[in-house]
Amino acid sequence: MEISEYVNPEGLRIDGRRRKELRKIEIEMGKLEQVDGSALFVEGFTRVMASVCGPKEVENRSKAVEDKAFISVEFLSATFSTRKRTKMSKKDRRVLEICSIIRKTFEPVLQLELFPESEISIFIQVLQADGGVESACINAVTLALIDAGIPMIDFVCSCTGTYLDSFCILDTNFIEETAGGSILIAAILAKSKKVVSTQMKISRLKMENFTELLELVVDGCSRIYDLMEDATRKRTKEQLNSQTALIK
Amino acid sequence: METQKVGQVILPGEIIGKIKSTSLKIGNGLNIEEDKVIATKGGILQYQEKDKYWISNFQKRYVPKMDHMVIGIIINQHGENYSVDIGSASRATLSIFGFEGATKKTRPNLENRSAVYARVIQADKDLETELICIDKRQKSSGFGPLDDQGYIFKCSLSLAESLLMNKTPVIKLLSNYIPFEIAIGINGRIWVKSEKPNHTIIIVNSIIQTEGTENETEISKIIKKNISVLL
Repeated sequence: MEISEYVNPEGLRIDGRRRKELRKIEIEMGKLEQVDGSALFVEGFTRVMASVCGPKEVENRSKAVEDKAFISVEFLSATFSTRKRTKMSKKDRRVLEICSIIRKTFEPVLQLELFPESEISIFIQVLQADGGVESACINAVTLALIDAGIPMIDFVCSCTGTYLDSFCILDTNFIEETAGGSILIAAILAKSKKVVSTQMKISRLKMENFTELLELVVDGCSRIYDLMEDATRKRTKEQLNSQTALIK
Repeated sequence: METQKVGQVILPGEIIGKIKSTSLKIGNGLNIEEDKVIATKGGILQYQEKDKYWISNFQKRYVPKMDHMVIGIIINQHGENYSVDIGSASRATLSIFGFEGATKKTRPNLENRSAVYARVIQADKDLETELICIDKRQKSSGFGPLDDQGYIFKCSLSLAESLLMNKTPVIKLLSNYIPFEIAIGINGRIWVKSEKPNHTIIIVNSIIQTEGTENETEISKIIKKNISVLL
């Protein structure tokens, strides 16, 4: 399919959104029984399930760190999640990249020094991939960590943006992501308004465009944060109502 | 510290308030950064008199604290210590002299994978968690090895806590119908022993199904429904 323009003269994108519009977000927390914490993050047609186990004993003794917990990340992409039915191996470059993004984003945020010589393992399962997978992963992992009750100093949320046809576009879908523009993935600390990690792909961008794009993405992050906050509050209230015994 | 957030839902990173006096004590899920108190967990802010604050949440992973009563499973024995799994981030140790009347000659003989009911006497993030099977008067008073005829199942930490604090009448109501022994570990493990396997199944189901309710009539309705299988 040839696409001549990604933003039409009326200012609408190929999926009918405006430039700064997010897709519909749905959040479900605590779906899985077997793990300590889990969350499902749905953003448009992107659907990511994250689960957290730990802090537990280190499985591989050689990986144990003396004074803090070690984060292990496992990323699985379902074969049916992408347009092309492909099986991603565990040593695929993309898998390792996402694992390292997740680890580097959460290492400064979690209070790992409270659990020396232990392991916090994060599992990510992509069920549907339609652009913004990395951001969805970060958001899902944040929610799963909160559900598991692992101490973290701030709330991390992430968003993706791109520069296409001399426009800055927020929350890209698959077509916009593969269109060849520069993609920026940013993760921010919602309460202290700091940027934890940024990731550029195909990076050839003028400086003024970059600042414009970064501002747009950070704004998107804070809008996603509001939704995540609502979901977390709702979930805690549900638990509170069902377990009044603990609170008195 | 003064705050209006007591009883509300708190999220990680939220600023609770500024420190004013030195009498402030913070617990689970709170952290001090410069002169502010910041939340590190999602949950509900709780307050007790004399400036004590903490967050109560609904996590499944157990974190050992002093004087908690836990059910542990013995993994192996190193010399004079057993290493015990209590479901926390690291293994705990239980000395062979930590039993009532134990000496070098009369040591307890516990096999691997057997269960013990013990008390936490050391809980620090940098030191090994230590357990003991006697109370403060050197008596066993219920602590010690659990019979291997029993059955251990897992439950949420909040359910174990409410059972231990006698907030739900499940156990009392169940005992009207079936005789059984029970040991509740605050680490989310419950040991049950009764005469027949189907009795055990009824007890376990009743305890799990009544999670979250304190209403006596509601609980007795669930128990009667479960018991009716026997009749």
